[in-house]
Amino acid sequence: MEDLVKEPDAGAVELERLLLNVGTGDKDSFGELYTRTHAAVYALALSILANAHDAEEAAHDAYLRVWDYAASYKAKGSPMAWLMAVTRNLCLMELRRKKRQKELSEDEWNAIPAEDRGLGAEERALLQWALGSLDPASRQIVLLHAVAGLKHREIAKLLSLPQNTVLSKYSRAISKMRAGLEKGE
Amino acid sequence: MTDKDIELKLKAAIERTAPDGLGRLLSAIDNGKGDIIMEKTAVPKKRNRWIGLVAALLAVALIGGASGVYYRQNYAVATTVSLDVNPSIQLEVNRSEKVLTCAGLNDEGREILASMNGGADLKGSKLNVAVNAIVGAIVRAGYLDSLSSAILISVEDNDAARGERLQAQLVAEVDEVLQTAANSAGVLSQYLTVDAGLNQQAQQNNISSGKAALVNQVLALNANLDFEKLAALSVEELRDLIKIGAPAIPIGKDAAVQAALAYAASLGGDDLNTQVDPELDDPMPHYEVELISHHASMGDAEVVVDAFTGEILATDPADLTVWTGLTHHQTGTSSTTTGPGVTADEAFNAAAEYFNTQHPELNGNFLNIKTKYDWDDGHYDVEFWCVGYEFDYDVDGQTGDILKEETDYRCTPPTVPDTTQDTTPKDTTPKDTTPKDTTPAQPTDIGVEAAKAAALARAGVSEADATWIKCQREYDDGRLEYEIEFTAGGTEYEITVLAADGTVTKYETEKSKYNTGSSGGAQSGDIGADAAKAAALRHAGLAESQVTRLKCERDRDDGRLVYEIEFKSNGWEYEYKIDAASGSVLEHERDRDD
Repeated sequence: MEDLVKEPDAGAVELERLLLNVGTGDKDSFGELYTRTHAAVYALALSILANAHDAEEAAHDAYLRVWDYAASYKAKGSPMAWLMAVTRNLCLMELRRKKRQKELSEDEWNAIPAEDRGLGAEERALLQWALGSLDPASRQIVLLHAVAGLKHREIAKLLSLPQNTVLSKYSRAISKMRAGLEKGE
Repeated sequence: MTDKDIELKLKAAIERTAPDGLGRLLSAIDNGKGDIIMEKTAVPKKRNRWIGLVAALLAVALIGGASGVYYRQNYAVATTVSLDVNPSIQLEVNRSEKVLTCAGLNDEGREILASMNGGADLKGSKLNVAVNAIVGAIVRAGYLDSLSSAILISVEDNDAARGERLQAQLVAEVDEVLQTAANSAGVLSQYLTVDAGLNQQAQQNNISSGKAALVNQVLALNANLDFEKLAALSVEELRDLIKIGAPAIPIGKDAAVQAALAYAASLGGDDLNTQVDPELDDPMPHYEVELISHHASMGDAEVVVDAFTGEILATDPADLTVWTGLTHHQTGTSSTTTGPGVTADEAFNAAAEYFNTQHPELNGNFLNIKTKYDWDDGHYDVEFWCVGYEFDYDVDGQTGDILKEETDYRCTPPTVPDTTQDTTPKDTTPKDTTPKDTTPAQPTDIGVEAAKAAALARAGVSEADATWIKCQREYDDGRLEYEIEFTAGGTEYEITVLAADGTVTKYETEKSKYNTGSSGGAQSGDIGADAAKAAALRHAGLAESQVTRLKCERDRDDGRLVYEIEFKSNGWEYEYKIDAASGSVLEHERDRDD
């Protein structure tokens, strides 16, 4: 799981190849695709569902759909954006099913999984308190950029926001997180 | 700490915390090849119901006629049910709610029943099954396509308790058919006692007694109107007339179409198909007549006709001569069109392909609502509905490229001004165009959740105790309101809440007619407990031999039949809610088993 999509161009080509192979039923490619992308899928699900447990289940569902529908993916050089769109749609439907469409209050943000995965104090603070201090849109933008490796332009497209809004929200969010972390140190 | 430092720390933390679920996924894929049964559109469901119906009819043929003792009870008409849209269909049923006769009262009604052997195929079937089949056929025939269309269910019975119970059951049945077909037509219903005078009026005008009662409601508002002319109007027109106080008799759909065609013809347009939608409850009552060229590439035009005078009020495009001129050229030998280079079919296909790529999880299950060329902007406007969502695409009229996608949830208006939680239109512009800001000004609306909360507060019922039957947002007398129905503790609540401020304007309770309990085995529209368990286990990536304490219960949730399934495995507790009709996973939870 060490390697996310750092270099979108080279990474995108490889991801596209994997996705097309998954469409033919290739499980090895599915495993490789999962390894490369599951942190990003999980991060996006977490940013929308605000809960580590729900995000884990949503990521599971998202990959089942990827397995089912990879054959319908049309190679357009943006496999990560497709994966993110599938995940996002699924999470939004899940939110609506649960009738939790209203803005989630801050105390519902729970990014720490029930199982101890060896997180350090700073990592816990970053996930729970720093991310928790952001509004949902900013949280999504930060995670999509920092973890999923999407460009601001791609995030703007995915979230239907003007690119300038994405840039300014990102910059404000990072400043806020830094201030929170430095204050806590 | 730099921005980059924070990004890297965040990424590392997420990578560490993201669970490795590959093993579970591969197990799920091995067990069920990852298939998740999505909600199907109405068509296959109805086919299944037909299979059930045929089986039921065969059973009736085999068993029927054996007993003379109960002849009188079995063949005496206990209840008369009529369904009116424009087609009028009447069913007579015995006290066991079995259909004795089924007939179309007008040409449209007879046409609907043609595929059911004129209604004879429905004899002996249960009333709800027959109504389901008929309403399905009416929907497929396009009579309920427009948002403002309406169906009237009338139950005529001298036994008030039975009549009102059947009324509630049929409304729920029809609501479900419409919901499955992603159709938002209004459902009107009434209970009547048998009235010889009303029946006579109905027979003289070839309408149902239910529709005759609706006509009488109009006449009660304006006694100067003519019964016969009113009888010729659709249920939607009659309903709207009642809303606006029945000032006069509208010209009717046929006359509106004739007026629009005559106007188009005067500008050179010919060889046109039409669709008409009455909008009598508009501040300026009118008919919208869509003119459809036989040449798909021409797109459609619209003519707005005054509902009472037949005068042409407006057209779209504003200058109809351009459009009619083009259709004229198209019908001739030369093609000098400057219109779209892409046909409506090609635009539809482009939107469908984009939809399937962007929303593979919806498995291509959509209902095409509209494919229309916009002459002002030079693109096609293509609309799909899918499981409660509306997808709106702009397709370039020259290149077929998708210019814009907007998604909206039909039942949920924008509630919170901020946040990404996506009640805002979605725009995944795939290329660099400059999308217009198409977010319309919304009337003040507290939103569906707040409306439900207001209704629950008025009733003093907690959400956990409520079983939702209906929550519908609609305009009434120019006001946006929520019509909410639910049951709790054996009581049925009907509450109307103003969308503007949550004020409760109507509050009615009665003893619940809905059976929310569970019952035995599979029935039509129900995959059965075994298939539901299999769907849950497949989703969890587990075989039945790997789980313990497997429980399965059939229940009703928001008016929908579901299976609630629980099991334990390897230190985890699983809970699933499976749609009984489609087998799709509606909700699932996995918690540590303490």
